[in-house]
Amino acid sequence: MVMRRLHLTIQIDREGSREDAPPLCEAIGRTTVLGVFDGLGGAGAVGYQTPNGTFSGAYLASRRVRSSVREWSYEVLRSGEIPPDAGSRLEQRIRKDLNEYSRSLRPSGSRLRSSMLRTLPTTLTVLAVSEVGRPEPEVGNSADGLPSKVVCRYFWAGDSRGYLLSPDAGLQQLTRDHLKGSPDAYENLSADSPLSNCVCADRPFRLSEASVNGRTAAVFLAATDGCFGYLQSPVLFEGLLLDTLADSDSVGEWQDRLTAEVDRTTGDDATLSAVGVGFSGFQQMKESFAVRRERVEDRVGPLRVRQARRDELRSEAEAAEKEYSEALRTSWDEYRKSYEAILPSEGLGGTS
Amino acid sequence: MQGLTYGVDIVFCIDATGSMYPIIDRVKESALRFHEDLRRVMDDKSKSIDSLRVRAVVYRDYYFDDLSKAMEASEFFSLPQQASDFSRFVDGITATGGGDEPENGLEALAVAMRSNWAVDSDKRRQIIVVWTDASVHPLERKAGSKPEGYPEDLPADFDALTDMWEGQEHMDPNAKRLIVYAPDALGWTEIANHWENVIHFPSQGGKGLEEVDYSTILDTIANSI
Repeated sequence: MVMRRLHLTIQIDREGSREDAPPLCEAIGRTTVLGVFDGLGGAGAVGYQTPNGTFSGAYLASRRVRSSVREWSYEVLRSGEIPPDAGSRLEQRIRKDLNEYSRSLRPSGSRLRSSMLRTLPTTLTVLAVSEVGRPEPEVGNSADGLPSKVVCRYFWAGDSRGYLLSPDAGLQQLTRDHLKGSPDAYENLSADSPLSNCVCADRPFRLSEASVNGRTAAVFLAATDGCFGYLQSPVLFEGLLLDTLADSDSVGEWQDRLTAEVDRTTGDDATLSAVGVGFSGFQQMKESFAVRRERVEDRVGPLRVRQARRDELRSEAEAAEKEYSEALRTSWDEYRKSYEAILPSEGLGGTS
Repeated sequence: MQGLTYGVDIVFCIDATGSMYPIIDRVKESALRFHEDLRRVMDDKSKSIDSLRVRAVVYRDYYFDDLSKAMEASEFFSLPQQASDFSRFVDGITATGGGDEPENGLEALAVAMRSNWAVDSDKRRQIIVVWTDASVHPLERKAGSKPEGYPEDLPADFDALTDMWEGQEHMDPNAKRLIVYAPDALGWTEIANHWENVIHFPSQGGKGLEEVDYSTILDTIANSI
């Protein structure tokens, strides 16, 4: 059986921002490099004049860092393997490229002072997913049909995330968000904590690095917070991924459905880059997630029921509030006829 | 399932002493348009605010003015429903009194921080905007013999005020933002240099604010929600 790698990207640009760079999804030999880059619109709001017009630091940073990562990918994968020092080389390259880039830019001459502002700030999450070899077959059997060993080395700064989606364990977060106070994924949906680390040109930053490996067929994803940060619980992101997968008959259709669904729920730019490894094709991938989808639905279903009940009660409360308000007005209009019957006209005093 | 809600509360601290007379109309106009501009920028980014409230803290000088004039604070007005009430309050502000600088800017900040901030939205912003052309009285001035009517519950010194800003009792550490249109002067420079989440435009009450910097301020607020 031939194993295929299934690639998918989504990009949603909100009018007036476009701070996420186009997602990176490069197949280089046996490795697929996934990358997402979310320019920080708040910290990078200062504008720069370029030959192509004026752009925010956030817009420029995400795209410049994407270019650095792409160049790094081809450089480190020249030998076919990700070298042990790949992370430090990536960090050095980004620092050098961003510093040179910031020196070449013409700031718009802002007089603002703020510790909130950064020069060319962006998040970065990069996954390098490699298939490193087939298992040895048992005597008398073929190795075909057994998944190859998959190694994922990943690097990140900020709150864009790497995920592993597998038929057995479902969605698992690979990257620990760099956020002040270290809230968990659920807490941060409302805490909205500021970043404790991001890539930028004017302050020290760090790239965190980790790896996972195994022989299971799985989907690896890199996603900016526009994809998952506007849902009310992390489980809903897995539900969104699996529902759109189940409703699709090709990778292209899954991509379109996912784009439409994220577009409907997000309030921000959103980019996602994904690769499925160890599956024989789209249909087999879809079928392998069917049981997991049922388990997720068991969790999400009761939440939907309670949400519907809450919405219903809110509507009833709003209607009751309006009704009460109107009743007070009507009651007064009737009551005042007698109540004000002997009240002197405005500007007049005296007794009745 | 979706539906995170967004709530933004804005408190305007306005120095209304006599020296602000040449620029008070522009400051009032800025206060009246700020929330509209912020909503427009948010709308442009497809972020819609579910709850928007504003209030004003008008301050002068407890050490010079009558108690009734030293500090006037409105309640929160919900917008757009109470927009005309808010306009009426702002329109009524006149630049008078205060004597020579410094003024009670730090006291006004404390009052602003003690606002009855909304807590019922999923994502929130607590924004304080200060307009002044003057330095500030140290909070510890005349400790033990404060003028009659000086509020008793204000922080004793700058460190205590800093604790109010950096702590969690009054301000939500993730939601707070402070925008200061003030000169490089005692109080404001320290705040700009040492407090978190502050944007300082060094000026006499925002005089000389270019559109590009105003856009940056709005973007800094809008993009971080």
